[in-house]
Amino acid sequence: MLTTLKAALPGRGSGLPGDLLTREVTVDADHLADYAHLCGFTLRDELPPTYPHVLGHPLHMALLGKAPFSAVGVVHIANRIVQHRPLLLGEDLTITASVRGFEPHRRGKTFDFVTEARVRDELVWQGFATNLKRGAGDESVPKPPAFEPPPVTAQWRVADDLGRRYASVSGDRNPIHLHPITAKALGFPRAIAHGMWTKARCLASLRLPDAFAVEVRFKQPILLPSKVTFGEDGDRFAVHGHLEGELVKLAD
Amino acid sequence: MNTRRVAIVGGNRIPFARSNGPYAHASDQDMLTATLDGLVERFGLEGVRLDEVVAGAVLKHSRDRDLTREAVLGSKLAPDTPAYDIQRACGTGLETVIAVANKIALGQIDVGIAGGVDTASDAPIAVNEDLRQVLLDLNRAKSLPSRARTLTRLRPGQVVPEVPQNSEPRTGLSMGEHTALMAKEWGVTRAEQDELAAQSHQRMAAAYERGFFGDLITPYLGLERDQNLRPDSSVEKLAKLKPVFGGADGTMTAGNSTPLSDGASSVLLASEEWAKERGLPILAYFADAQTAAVDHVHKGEGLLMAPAYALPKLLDRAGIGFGDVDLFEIHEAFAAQVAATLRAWRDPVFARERLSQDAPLGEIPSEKLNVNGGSLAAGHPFAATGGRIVASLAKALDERGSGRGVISICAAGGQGVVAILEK
Repeated sequence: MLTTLKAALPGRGSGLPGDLLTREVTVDADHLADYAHLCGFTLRDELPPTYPHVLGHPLHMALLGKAPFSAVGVVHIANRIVQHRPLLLGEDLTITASVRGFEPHRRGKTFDFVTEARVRDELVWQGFATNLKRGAGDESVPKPPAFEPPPVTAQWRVADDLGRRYASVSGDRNPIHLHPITAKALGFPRAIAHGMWTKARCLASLRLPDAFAVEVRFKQPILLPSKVTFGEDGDRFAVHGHLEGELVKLAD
Repeated sequence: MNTRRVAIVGGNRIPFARSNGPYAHASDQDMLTATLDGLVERFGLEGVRLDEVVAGAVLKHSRDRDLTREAVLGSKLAPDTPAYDIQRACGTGLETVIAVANKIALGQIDVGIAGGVDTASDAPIAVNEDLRQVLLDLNRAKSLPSRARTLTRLRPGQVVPEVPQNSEPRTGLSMGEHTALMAKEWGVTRAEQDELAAQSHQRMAAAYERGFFGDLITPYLGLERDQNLRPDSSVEKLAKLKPVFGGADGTMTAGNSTPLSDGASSVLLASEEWAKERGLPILAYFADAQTAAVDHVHKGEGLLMAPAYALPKLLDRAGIGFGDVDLFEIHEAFAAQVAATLRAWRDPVFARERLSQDAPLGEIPSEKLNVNGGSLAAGHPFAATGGRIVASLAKALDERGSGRGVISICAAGGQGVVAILEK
């Protein structure tokens, strides 16, 4: 998709946590344009803050391929991004990914894909994608704090081919996003939007500082096609019923 | 009426790209937003509410109805900065500067950005006109039978889209073909066109070499210099090219005509007080402007000759002649159009019969003309050219320390926009 994948893959059966996969990436401007326009970002030399997640996707898949459990039923439930400064088109990036976990959850266990983007030795970007592997839960885990969603400030029409279009730019071709039939086979009434598209679409709508942390929790999936509402109020934002988000500005 | 002096504080543009090159996937809105943000960064305007941003594009998508306002909302300017679009073919960029400058002069606003953008890559292709009519009728049809009847009008050929044409609606001639007619009428030679083209490239390359564009350009999508610029351009190399307009014995080539280009430009204009309060420089002052049009439809006048009429009017109003002008910036749509315009200004018959003046304006010395290169070298993203020229001329005047410069821009539809800057 982008450039050479220099992932040094350890042997099978080595389990999940502890592996650190690496790839060197030079961002392709045409791919960046496709991604930016699909998610609502302006095409500029600063990379969208959600873009490095896509660069880490092949590494996430490689890590998941070596997991001691089936990837079916793994759900992306939360995502935190820390951007220390904007990454720039033309910078040579080193992307690493590893797994941190497991943590107990009310409906199973969670683990994080920890993705980092470096320019030479400078850590510029970090992503923490929290995934739930459904299974025996732990009811003693506290629920996430209550979130009062901001009032509606915008309405988005989400097209029925969004899942296929985002799949082609992100490489995430999970069948639940592609077609009603494949989604039904996996227990969804229709295809659903990618969580990271939804997060990207939110960040494209916000005025972001150069250095920030942004955390979202994914609620009900967005069925395709849909009309959804978005709201922002200071450091909080939401896609009502689907996503809760909080933004923290960091010192530059 | 009391008017105020209008300061040109500075400019910013992205390097111009050849169409279907590095900006092939960038939209007008992307390029204009990136250009505004470069200006914001250069002059510390992040989060600042400006009084107005005015910009435009010549080739425009229907979704870009309020292109400039949308670009402002995507930029680092304060979201409560008002904005609007205007359009006057290739005169758009200079016209936006005039619009902002006039409001500043009248005291209606203190500061504004003027700009322009165009892409020949991401062109607005529309549905076939027959198909459009069918779809509109389908929308109007109220009953099921009338809808069904409308649908029977669908034909396979209607999938062929409408592509914007670089031709004059009323003559069907392309701009190049019109210019070839002008070249013939004025006896413009191949040699003088190639000379102008080579000079444009060499002068712009020299300006880059000495860092002239360092504070006028922000790199974009991997491009740091105008892609069309060929520093090693020469009359000898240009002489080898085959003519593209005016038939087999034509004199116009791909080398002495501007290529289709993508790019955007912007200029920051303010009252003197606003600039001084913020400690910002004043490169030059925007003094005056004038437009004119020719009748290329019924009288067969040269399509791009309108500046030949506009500039004498402007100089008359200022009470000055060519001798009082230190720098001339004539937009090079085609070298032939520049040469034809120069000939008109030194032609006693044109002065007497077309301008009703006793004597022609005279000769423009080469060392005063497009001293840092022109559109033949930089490329010509239609609406972005005016901003490029205003910012470059203002900086050139600032480098001189004093002086007067004129700008002359020809436009489709037989129009011309000219202006005076002073330091």
